[in-house]
Amino acid sequence: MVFNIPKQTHNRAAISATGNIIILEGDIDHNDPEVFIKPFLEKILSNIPELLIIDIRNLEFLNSSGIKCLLDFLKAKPPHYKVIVRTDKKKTWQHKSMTVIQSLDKDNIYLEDVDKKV
Amino acid sequence: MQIPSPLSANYYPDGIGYLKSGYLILIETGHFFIYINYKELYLFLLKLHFYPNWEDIVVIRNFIISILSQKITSHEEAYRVALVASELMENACRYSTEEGINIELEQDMDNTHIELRIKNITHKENIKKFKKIFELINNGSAREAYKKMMIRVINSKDDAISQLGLARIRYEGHSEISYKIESDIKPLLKGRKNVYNDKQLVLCIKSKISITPKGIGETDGI
Repeated sequence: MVFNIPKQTHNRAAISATGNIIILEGDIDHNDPEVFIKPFLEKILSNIPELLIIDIRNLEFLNSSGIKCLLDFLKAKPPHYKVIVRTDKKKTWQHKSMTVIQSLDKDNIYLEDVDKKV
Repeated sequence: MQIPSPLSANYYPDGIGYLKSGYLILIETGHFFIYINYKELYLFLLKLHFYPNWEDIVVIRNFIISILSQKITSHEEAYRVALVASELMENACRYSTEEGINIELEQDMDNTHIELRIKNITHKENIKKFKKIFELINNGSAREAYKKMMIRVINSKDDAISQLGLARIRYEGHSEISYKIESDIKPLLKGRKNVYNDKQLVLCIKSKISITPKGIGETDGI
């Protein structure tokens, strides 16, 4: 499945999908980020590819409620489908957060630390 | 020993005066140099009082990054302190009564920690829930506790809140967390009348965040 969902902004955050890549950008620091993330991710789940990339390189801030949204999504996907989380190597918080998420399902969640910004 | 006067006003980033609630008051800030044995140290104390307005959190978070990364520590570590502050402010905004939230950030004498103290009035029921979470996140290593909380979130049927914040502070913030409960809530009210009752208490959370002083092991990352 190939997605082409244009960028949707919500305060200082944005989410979009192109090909098999979901892109999260800006600051996800909302009181309830589910309000805009959940409907978007539900669209993805309805046609999820076997390999999905979540690109957070341009995500500057993600609060714990945003992390919960990601966890809910990873729980809802078919168990054997693979997800690669693409992080910016220079943003150590991304690596730190995502490493723990990866440890929940090492066979199906992978991290890709990228040096260069999008 | 020489102690120059507190820092001049131009040190403060522009954003601080433009909170949407209009209620943020910079009560006190001290920044001065102490020369001991020819070694230059910076000591830093910041006290803020704000009303529970979600939109103010980002302003204070960016203010903390800006002020700490100028003189105290690297941008990466300033970001980490701000992350801790942000998670604690989110909790306070969610559960505080309307009387406001006090935040203090203080650098310790040996320049290896920032102590962040946050105080707000909340209902006794919220304090019970907080104590339960606190016990969960303080068991075992910080990483394992964070992972356990993630598993708890995944298996929880309660969609409302993440409850990951404290575990994240401990792990990602490189932070020791402690708390105390105070029953005298009057000092936080600052002259405001009524509004409190015997179902409320003051929750004081202290987070001791390890930092590397600016110039030592500094990186460009955030």
